[in-house]
Amino acid sequence: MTRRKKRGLGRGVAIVGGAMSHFGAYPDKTSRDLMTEAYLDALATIDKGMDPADIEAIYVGNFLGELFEGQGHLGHIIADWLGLAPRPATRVEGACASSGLAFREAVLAVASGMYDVVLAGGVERMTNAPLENVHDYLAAAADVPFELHQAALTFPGLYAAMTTAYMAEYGASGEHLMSVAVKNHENGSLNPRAQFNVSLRDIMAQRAAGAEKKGRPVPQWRNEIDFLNDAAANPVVADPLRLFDCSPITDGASCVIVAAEEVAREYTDDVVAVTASAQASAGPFTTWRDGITGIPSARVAGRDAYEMAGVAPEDIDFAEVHDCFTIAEVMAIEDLGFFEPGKGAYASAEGRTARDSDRPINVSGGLKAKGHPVGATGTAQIQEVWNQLRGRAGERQITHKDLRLGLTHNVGGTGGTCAVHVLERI
Amino acid sequence: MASSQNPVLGIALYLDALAERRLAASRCGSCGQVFLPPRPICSTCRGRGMSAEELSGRGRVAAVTSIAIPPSAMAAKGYGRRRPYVTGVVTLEEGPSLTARIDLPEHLGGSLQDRVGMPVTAAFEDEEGSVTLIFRPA
Repeated sequence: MTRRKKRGLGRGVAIVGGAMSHFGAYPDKTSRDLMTEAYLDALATIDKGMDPADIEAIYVGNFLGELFEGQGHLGHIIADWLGLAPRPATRVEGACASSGLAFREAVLAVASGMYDVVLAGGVERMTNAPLENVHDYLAAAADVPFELHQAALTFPGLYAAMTTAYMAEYGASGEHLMSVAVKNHENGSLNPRAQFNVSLRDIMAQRAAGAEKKGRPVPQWRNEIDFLNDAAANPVVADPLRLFDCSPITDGASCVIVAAEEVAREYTDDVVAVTASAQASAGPFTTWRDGITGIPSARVAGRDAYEMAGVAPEDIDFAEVHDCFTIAEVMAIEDLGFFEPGKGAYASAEGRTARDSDRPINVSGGLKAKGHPVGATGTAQIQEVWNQLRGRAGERQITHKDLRLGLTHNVGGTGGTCAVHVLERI
Repeated sequence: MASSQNPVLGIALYLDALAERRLAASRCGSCGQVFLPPRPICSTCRGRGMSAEELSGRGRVAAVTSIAIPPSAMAAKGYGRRRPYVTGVVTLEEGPSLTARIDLPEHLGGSLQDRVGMPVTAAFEDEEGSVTLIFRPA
C-alpha cells in the first residue's frame, strides 16, 4: 500500500465537556428526551461555561431510530430540540460504533479548521420495542443474507461462534469469560449512571431474598462463578454464551463537546487532547484471513492510533473497550496489544484488568454493566476516559496510578467497523 | 463488465444456484482466490477478472453455536429454548468460509468447541417451500 503522508490531525483538538444520561430502561423517554439530558449535563461540565451559540456543528450517532421508534433523519431533530438549528447536523451510523464515528467526524471537522467547537453525541432508544423484535433489529448490523437469513445467527450467536473458535484455538473456558462479567459488574456498582449499578454479589443477594419472600428454596451459591454456572440463574442464550456474558438492552444518550486546542482554554484550564483518532473496516467475519479469534479492524485501528499518538500499547494507562459480550473484551485487549493472542482470557481471570491493576479495563462497568444503548456507547466511552483523566470519576476514579493516556475502542457489528481513540491529559 | 453472456456476480446468482442445490462462487483470474458468494471485485488483489465457479460443499466446521434465543423467523418455526438449533461457520475445501446452519442432532449443549475442525458436507433441504443449506457431518 502506498501511503503518501503520515496520518495526523491538521491541528490540535481537545475535549472540553462531556456526559452520559442515566443508562437503563426508560421506555417512555424518546431519543430527544435522552439526548437533552446528556447535552445539558455535558454543558454543565464545562469548567468556565459555554454559550451554546459557540457550537458550530452537531454529529449524532444513532443506529436504528427507524426501527426502534420509527424515526430516521435524527440529526436535524436533535439539533432543533437542543436549540442548535440551523447549525449543520449530521446523523452518523456505524451500528454499535455509531457515536465513536460521530466523535471522529467531530474531531476531523475541528482539525480541518472548518469549526472551532463541535458537539458529538449518540443516542439509542431500545426498550420500548417488543423483546422478540430486538434480536431481529440488531441483526441489521450483520451480513443479512448470510448471517441472518441463511445461518439464522443472532448477535449473541455470532459472538458465540467466535467464542468456540477462540476456545478451540487457545483452550480458554467459559469460566475465564465469566471473570470479565464479575469484574465489569463490580466496576458498574460504583457508577451511579450505570444500568446495573450493582455487583454480582448484590444481584445474588437480591435473587436469594426474592426466593425467600416467595417461599421458594433459597439458592446457595458459593461465589459469583458458582452463580454464573447455575443454568437456572444464568441461562444459555447462544451456547457457550449465557445471559451474563451479554450486554443488556438499554435506553441512553451521551454527549461530548470538542474544541480546537487553540480555543480550548477559553472553556477550561484542565485540557484533555485527542492525540489519535483511527478507524478501520472489515467484511463479514467469513472473509477474515486470520480466523475469527480476533477482530482485524480493531488491530488495524489500534495500530494506526498508536502510530498517530506516537505511543505503544504499554504506554496506555487504562482503556474503555467494547465488551458487548465477555468474549469481545477478551479479544479487544488482545487486538489492542495489551496481551498476546490467546492470553486475554487468562489475564482477565487473573485480575490483570481489574480497577486496581496495572491497566484497568472498563472502570465504567463497560457495556456489560453500564449498559449498551448502541448509538450512545462510543461517546459514553469517550466521556468516561475524559472524566478519569481529569480525576473527576467519583467513587470509581482510578487513584493507584497517575493517568496520562487513556484509550477507547468502539466496535460496530462483529468488527465490520472499529474506531480507536487515544486521549491525553496535557 | 457484466454482459448478457456473463451473469452478474452477486447475491442473486448465489441464491438462484442454491434453489438448484448448488453452491455458486467466483474465482479471481489474477490471484486465484475463491469467493462465496460470488463477487465482482477481488478483495485480495482488487482484480476484476472474476469467473463463476461451483463449489463441492465439502469443508470443516470453523466455529459453531447452539441458539436458544432465536430470531423471529426461527421462533415462528418452533425453535427456541426448548428446541435450540446449531449454526456456525464452515470453511470449504476450496478456501472460502460461509455462515450456515449445521445439523448436529446428537449434540445440543455440552462442549461445542470440540466440534471445531469436524468434516462436514453441504445438504440442501426443503424447508417451507424453499431450499435451505444445512451442513451435516461428512
